[in-house]
Amino acid sequence: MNESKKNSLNGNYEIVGNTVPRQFRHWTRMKTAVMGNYDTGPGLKNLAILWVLHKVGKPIFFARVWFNNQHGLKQRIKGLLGR
Amino acid sequence: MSLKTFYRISSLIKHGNKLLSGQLADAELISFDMFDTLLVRRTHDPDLVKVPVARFISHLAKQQGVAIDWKQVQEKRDDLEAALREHTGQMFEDKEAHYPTLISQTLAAIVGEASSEKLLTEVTAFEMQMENTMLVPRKEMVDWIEQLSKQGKRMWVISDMYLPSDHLETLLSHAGLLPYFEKVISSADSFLAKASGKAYDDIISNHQINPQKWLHVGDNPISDGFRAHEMGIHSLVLQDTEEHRRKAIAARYYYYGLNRGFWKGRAVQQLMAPIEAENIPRSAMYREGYNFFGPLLCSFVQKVAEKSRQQGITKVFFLSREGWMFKQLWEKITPTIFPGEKLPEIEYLYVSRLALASATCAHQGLTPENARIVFLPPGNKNFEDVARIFGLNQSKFEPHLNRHKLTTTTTLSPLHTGFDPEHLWRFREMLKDDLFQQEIKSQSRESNEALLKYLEDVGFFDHKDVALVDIGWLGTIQRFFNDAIAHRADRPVCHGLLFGATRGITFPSNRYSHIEGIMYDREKFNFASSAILYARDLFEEACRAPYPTLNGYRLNADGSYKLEFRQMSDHIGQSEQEQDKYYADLQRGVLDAADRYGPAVALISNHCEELTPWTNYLLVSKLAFPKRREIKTIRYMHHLDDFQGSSTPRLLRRPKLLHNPWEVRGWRFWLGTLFAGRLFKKHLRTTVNTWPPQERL
Repeated sequence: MNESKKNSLNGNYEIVGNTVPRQFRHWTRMKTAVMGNYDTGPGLKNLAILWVLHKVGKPIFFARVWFNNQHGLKQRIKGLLGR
Repeated sequence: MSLKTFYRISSLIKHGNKLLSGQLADAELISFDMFDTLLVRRTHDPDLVKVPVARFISHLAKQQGVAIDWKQVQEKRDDLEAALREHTGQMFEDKEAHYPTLISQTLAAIVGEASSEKLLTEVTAFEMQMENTMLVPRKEMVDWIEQLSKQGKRMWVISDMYLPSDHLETLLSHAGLLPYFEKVISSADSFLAKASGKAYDDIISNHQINPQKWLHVGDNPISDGFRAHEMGIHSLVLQDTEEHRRKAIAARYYYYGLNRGFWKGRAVQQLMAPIEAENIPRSAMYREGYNFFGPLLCSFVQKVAEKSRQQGITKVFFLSREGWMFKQLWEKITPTIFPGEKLPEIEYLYVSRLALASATCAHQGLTPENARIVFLPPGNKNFEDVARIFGLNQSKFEPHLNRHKLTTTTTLSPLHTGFDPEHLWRFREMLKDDLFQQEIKSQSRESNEALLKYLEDVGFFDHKDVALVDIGWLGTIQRFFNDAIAHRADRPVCHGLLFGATRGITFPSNRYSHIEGIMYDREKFNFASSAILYARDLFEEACRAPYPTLNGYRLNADGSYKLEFRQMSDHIGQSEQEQDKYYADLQRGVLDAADRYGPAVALISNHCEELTPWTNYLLVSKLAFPKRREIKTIRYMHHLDDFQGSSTPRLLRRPKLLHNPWEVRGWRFWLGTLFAGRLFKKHLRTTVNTWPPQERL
């Protein structure tokens, strides 16, 4: 049974069929049962950071890159902070 | 003149078009920066490309008798580059480097002046190849350039890069962009860079360009923005936030992979992922091939190559029909993963269990072990199945059967109605009968001779150590293969490298023949990879060549051999063709993934075992805890087992309430997916209780 066509890498740069939530579900299973050898496993902190980057990274990166280019604004902020 | 920064490529193009149709309608020149403007790198760090190049130089040096680690090569290159830039800085404002000079000096420092010139071409070609695999043209930018080209605009590429312009032209040509550009300028040629503004100055004075009628597009706020603006050039700076995000994600996976093995494979997959124009909507089958089967199968082939090097194997035979896929993967991934190394020869070998079975009895007759293999599949019942599998004319065995009070239809399998242990005992007695064995040998001789001629033809006996690469599972093919050639004094040592070795029957290992499961081996306790057992037929279907199986080896009247393939006109043949069509998209996905697996692994990973935690996760996550739609998508419709007879066994149990969802349909399938955890615990219990594997034959 074939589904409709989709990209192999989704708009959040996640591999379709192997997203961070799936890895998180697997991490919870790893914590409750013997699952085999995954070296050290993914780590909750890493999963959380990756979830943020994939899911809500768009506005964060826009703000970050935009602010990085606002040299005048940065100077004014530095001035206000007295540095 | 204007300097404007954009955070999305579409808004830059919109503004550029507005300028070119208004203020700059009579533009003399439109120039583009190359890296991160026209082309983007898959990796977050351009220096990662230098790693496989350092490995390549290390291997080339080894061939010249110089032992040097790739890390030392990299250090030497970095030191020389710094010195070269410092030297240039004494004469020019920009501390630029020149790639051919840098590599010549590196090679000279490692292998000496005499060999360095010869090796420079090889190293440059390899680095260009690696760069090409990592660079992807930006789709929207390509569309814009096409549009500008149609309008007859004059376009140049200006780059601050240590690669000279002819090297940059090679990269642009590979990306399909070179025809659009009149000129490619690199700072490596003149040591005048955009970073200081000298490159713009040089172009204005040497090419008489009016800066007021020049539009420059780039990504660096200083080099492409302020410096151009200072010269009076209209400049558009692209600070693509999504590109920053993509690279930041790739960087996260890369750095996590340095400390946690789990993420190493994920980082490889992130680098393999299609981007820009490559990332187009694909069918679910293609996606499964690209994202799941591709990394797994490529990892298997990489490990096969690694084993072959370690065990001194000089030729690798990929056994049909799954070998069709493995051989293609080998050809795609090994040149970038093992650059400059001498790898074994490869050959595709036409074999099948059925074809080899008929050739196996020519010298040793029908052994009790081989006879018992016949009755492992539940569909096999009597001597008719023995005759079918070993290609025997059963009418000639009637006197022998009568002598032992058996018929061709006497039930010999305990799974079928009418089975009596007495029948089996008589059958075993018959196997000790010399007259019976003579008949077996005489009927098998022709097939055996044809097989040997075929093997001689493909150079099988010209090697001392060969690898037989197959999908798995019991090693029956290699067992038969070994029996068929056992009488030859010049037979090579056969290293059986299987995708998965389930070892349902004990393999008769000896100094000439042994098997090893690469991704899963029941003899080595790797629980995660045992998830393969959930759907092993799936891997056969995913790798199988789209043509009929081999039925046997026949001798022609002139003494030559021929390969006889199965006819595809019957019901099973039609089903198989339908199945091949269904899996074609998945196989396309696997092969496309292989194109990007090699470069990704070459950049990130040092050893094939580093990816094992990730492949283990892939197997457990996809096979033991699949989504319902995944099973429905990739599960096969028909599966041909040439060993399986048509009899229905009496004692074959109905599926239990909770059953492996890959094997059942309807409500049992739903229950199987709903209680995947319980099934997995059951799988764990079975695996632990049946380990180590017991003698079954």
